[in-house]
Amino acid sequence: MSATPFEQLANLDRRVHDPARLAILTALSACERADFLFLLGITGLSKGNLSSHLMKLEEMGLVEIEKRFVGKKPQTLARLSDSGRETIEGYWKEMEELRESAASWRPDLVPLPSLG
Amino acid sequence: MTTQDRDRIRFFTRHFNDLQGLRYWAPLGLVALSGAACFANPALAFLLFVGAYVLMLGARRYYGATLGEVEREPVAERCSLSVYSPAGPTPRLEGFQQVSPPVQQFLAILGLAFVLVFALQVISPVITILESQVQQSRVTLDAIYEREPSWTRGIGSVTAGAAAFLPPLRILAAQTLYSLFGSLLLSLWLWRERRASQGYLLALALPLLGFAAFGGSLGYFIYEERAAVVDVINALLPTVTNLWVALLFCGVAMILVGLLDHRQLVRALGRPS
Repeated sequence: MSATPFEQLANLDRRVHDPARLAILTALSACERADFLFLLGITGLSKGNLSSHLMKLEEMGLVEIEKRFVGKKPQTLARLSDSGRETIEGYWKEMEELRESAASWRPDLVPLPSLG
Repeated sequence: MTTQDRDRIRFFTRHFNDLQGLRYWAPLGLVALSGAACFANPALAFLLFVGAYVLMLGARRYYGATLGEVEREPVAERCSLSVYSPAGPTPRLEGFQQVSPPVQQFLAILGLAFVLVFALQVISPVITILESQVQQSRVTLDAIYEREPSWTRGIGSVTAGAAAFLPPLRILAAQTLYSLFGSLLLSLWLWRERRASQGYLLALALPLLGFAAFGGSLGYFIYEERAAVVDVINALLPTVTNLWVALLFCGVAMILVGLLDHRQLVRALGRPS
């Protein structure tokens, strides 16, 4: 028997389910790498928030961070790791499946638990 | 996060570089305008050309400093570009063998546009356009066109009378220019996933391609000697026969694209403090 939408929802990868992390990973999945300034604009996060989310994502091994100097200015670049790319693609695939199963889900088809 | 948010983030990340309108499209438009100005004022043409160069360099720094940088995904599959070679079985250009999908798309559309325009040029009835009459603001159809004998081919054959004939190369150059810029805008619209928000690219590409097709098929229209057709042709004639008008139109179109792209990008990414 296939999982109900509720079970699918409960099984979603919580590391990326947070909207801020999801925005960061989605942006990084559409490019090779992006710098901190771009991620700041596209996600709408504050500098501190973005920085802490990037650190957590790096600790989880989903994102790789590179710091360098362009002239005298420091630049932080982020890119998805291989596992990060798999994770975000898997997440969006699961969400699509969840959307489809939620659309076709009918409460009257769920068997009632036996009381005795 | 909704799927619309996801698509928006993906779109602006994927097209961050080509949406930098002040860096690419507006300078290209200024170069076209500089070409148009060459016909009237070389000093202005030089200023516009220098302005395009300065804008391109300045915009590069501006985008890098205010909106950040994005490195595109490497192209997964490059396409081979086949080119007919009369020398034998060497169907690829040296050093230009592999092109990215958007470039291939642009070349395919451009090739089709050229074939269409030149085919129309060849098969449409031959006409002569007199230079002095083209420059008038209001002329009648009979005065502009004179049907050529059936053995004459091409636009702009010499006719009797004092007026100079319009050089056919100039008309062809104008049509080529419309085809080039129209194809560029159309392929850009396709490359940007045919989104409704990019509709201005299509809205600007279609008239340019339309002018190219119209210029190639002028001969057909003179056989439709109806008042409404005459008025339309008279109004459009300078557009399709003057190279400077074609450069002006294409330049303005590219500057518009540049400004609208820039506006979109700044709106999507906000104005960082």
